[in-house]
Amino acid sequence: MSDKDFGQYQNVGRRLIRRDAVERLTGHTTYTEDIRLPGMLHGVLVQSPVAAGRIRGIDVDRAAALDGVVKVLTAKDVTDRRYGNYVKDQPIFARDRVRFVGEPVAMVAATSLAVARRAAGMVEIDIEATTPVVDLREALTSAEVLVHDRDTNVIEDVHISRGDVDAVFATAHAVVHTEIESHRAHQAYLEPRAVTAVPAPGGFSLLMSTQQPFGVRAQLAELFDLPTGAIEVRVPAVGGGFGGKLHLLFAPQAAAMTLATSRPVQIVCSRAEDMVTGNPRENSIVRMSSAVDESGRILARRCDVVLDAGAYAMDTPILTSMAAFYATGPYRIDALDVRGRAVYTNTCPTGSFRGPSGPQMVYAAEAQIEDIAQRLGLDPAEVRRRNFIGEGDRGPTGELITLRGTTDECMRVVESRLRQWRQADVPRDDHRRRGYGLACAWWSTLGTPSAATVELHEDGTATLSSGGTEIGTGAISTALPSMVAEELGLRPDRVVLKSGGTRDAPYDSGSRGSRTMFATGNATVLAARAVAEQIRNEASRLLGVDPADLVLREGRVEVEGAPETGMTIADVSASAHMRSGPVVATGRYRAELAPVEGSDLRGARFLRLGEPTFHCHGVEIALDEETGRVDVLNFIAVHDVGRVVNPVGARGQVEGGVVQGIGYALTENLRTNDRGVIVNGNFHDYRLPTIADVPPHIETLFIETNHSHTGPFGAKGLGEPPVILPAAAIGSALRDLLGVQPYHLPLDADRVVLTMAERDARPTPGQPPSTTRPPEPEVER
Amino acid sequence: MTTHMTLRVNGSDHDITVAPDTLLLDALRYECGLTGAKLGCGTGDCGACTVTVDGEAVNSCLVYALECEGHAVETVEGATAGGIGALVAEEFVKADAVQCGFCSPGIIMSTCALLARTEPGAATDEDIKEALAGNLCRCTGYLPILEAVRRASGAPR
Repeated sequence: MSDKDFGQYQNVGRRLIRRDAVERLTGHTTYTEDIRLPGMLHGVLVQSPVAAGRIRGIDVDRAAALDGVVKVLTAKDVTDRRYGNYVKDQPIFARDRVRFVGEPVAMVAATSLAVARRAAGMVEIDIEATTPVVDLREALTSAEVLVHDRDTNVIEDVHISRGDVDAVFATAHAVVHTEIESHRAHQAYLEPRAVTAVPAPGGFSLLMSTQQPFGVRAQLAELFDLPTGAIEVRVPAVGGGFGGKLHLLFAPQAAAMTLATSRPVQIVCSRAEDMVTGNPRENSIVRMSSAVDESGRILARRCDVVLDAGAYAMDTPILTSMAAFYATGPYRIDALDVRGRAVYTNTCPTGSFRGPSGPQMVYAAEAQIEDIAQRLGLDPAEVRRRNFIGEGDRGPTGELITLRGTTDECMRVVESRLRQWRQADVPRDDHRRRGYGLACAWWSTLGTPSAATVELHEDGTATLSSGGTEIGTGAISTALPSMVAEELGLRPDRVVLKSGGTRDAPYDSGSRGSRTMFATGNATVLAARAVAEQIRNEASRLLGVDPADLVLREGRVEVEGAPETGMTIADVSASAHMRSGPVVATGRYRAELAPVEGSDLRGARFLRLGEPTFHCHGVEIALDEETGRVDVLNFIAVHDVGRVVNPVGARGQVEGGVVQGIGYALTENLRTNDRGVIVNGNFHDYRLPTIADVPPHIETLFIETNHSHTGPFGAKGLGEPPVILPAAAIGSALRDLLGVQPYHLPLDADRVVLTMAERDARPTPGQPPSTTRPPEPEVER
Repeated sequence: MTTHMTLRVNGSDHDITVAPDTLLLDALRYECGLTGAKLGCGTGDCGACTVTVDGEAVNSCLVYALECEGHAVETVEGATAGGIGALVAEEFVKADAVQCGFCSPGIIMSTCALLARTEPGAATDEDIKEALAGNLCRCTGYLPILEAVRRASGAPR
């Protein structure tokens, strides 16, 4: 690593003002629903009213005859190929069977939205309803009620075996068991899902609110048996994604209708359609046991994670591996027996939501730490400290940790803040009780592929072409151009960004997995460095100086250490264009996979986590014991994400993530009844935090002394971690306040009141059971 | 069944054709070509469609266009073109109070309505929270928005 990697920069690490802010604030930014094309049809889906059933017939005649209706499609009109990110199980329209309430069965396209809606209501679906399986535990064990034509509802089964777990459990000082259950939460981006398909020669184009246009293109090419290049995916501004826009969404339906009508077709979901058709954070059951010694050192862990996939697999297969990998928390545990399973149910398909599987795995691992501490009579922070993973240790799959572990540094800051809060005076008229808690976690940064092209023009300005997708974080719109500016010694406003789809830029694997700044950033920096080298070579010829002695700074190519020498970059670029050719380069990046050792992995979708990041959150809550209402009074978030490229944007990621995490913990709960119907699929009954609900201050701190060896300028990923800790921190604060840990999420008023009632009904106070429900019989393993 | 009407938006008269059940939001977006107001929920819960009618913030997804004949409608495009709205937008930029931006036009309009009825510097945090409690934002966590509105409220007008 050169000194420059840890040095001071002109742009990186400085406060960057969003380039696209004014346009967004003044209503001039174009989102997918803002674009209406000539001759465009409006598509409306006809959705299944039942959770399970056999389709006896679909009568579209009345709908098709309505004035203004151009076409009605059902399964018989489209390919029978299935789609899905990992398991191809989803049909464009339900064929023979329906599997969840809201599943698309048919689609109407009409010249106006009103007509399309009316016609959709006139499509008559004759379904013989069958018994659905809605409950996760029932689906896990049932061999009778099966969601798909398979002999089990289990679609994914991942094992990690490491060390001799049985032997350690047999001889350990104590074994502590923790079991939690978690709920569903919706991404609830403000822009509902939207797509417009447009006919194009040999294929079609899409205008789509998506987080990964290249993934959409690849899957649609396969689904419709078209060459990849015959499909173009353009991404207008995305009004939030949070993992909810990683899938094909309704692109297959829109594309099928465009292919059938040769006209542009737009599908804009209503909020209700959006919330019942996909893909909330999955509900889950996490059972965790640790074998510990007297000091609280965790010698071995067993963990059994069951995720509810809903009716189709979507991302759940890979989330199952992630959930299994995060079963250790940020702790070194040398003997592991972890099993992760995903299970089909007749409910709305679940999928990625910012930090997928994170909130419940952190909740389980941190509740387990506190259960261990309670059993052994130790301070939970001390138990954490004795187990933190760090440099030289091996992670859950046997990967070597090559970065310093900084969870302890993060936690020390939080502990000191919690002490201050405990000492502060409570207003006399405030009868609410206070609770203080913290949670620790690690997470990793996805290093999936990216390419970027940088071209330096004759006038000394540059264009960055990135396939990366701006979803609102500013990482693409603002941070990437500043990285190019840094490498080329230009002012950021001399770098023009071209991005937003598959047409103008090479491949990028999407805005997800906290990867954009890291992986898309790496590709961008590699391209910029190659361009800088071309410029140095050209300047070397012009100046007769060794290229190694030349630097690019402030718009000039200068001899290192001799400012004002050399030439302007514009002159060098113009010369290169005439003498050796255009100044352009493409950077390509894929994180190297470090070898794993000592773990036996079965059924895993990937082999190791990416470069780790370390985190601790602390919270002060107030509980109204009469109503069960919990308010967050103070919050501190401490993160080690390596170099912070843009402090303003980073703070925005943390605060936004923390508030989403608070919503997940306290108020958000997408509920499905026993008939598989989502009962609160709207913004009135599904309670997102409002400005009146957030704490007055969220303190955001970064540990900036542990830069990544592989990230651009030492950066790692930040997008997901802030959302995965708040529930565990609030759970810890409730435990502090109530004397018992709630083992069910969310921690809403009902749960808090129930937890208090269960505590008070316990026969022998002072001997808390480790779960609030009787232990289930172990499922066969 | 459609009817002609004149809708006064951002100080200009628009002669448009609407049905009795055409929403103000749809009239603005598709008849007047002003797409700044967004459809986020259609039930008045998210505030992305907020515009002002005679200075008061309303959810344009809950108001019929015909109800607005003879009243002055302002959208984010008009409000931020100058005056206090431009100042509000500037403070939002400085505070980094915009991420995906889908909620931003509605939040700007709720802010403009608040500032129109309060003296400079008079809006308390409680006033701001009350004025913006009907505007959901899923990205920022609201604190930069609160900061931006405080600053805009305190600025001389």
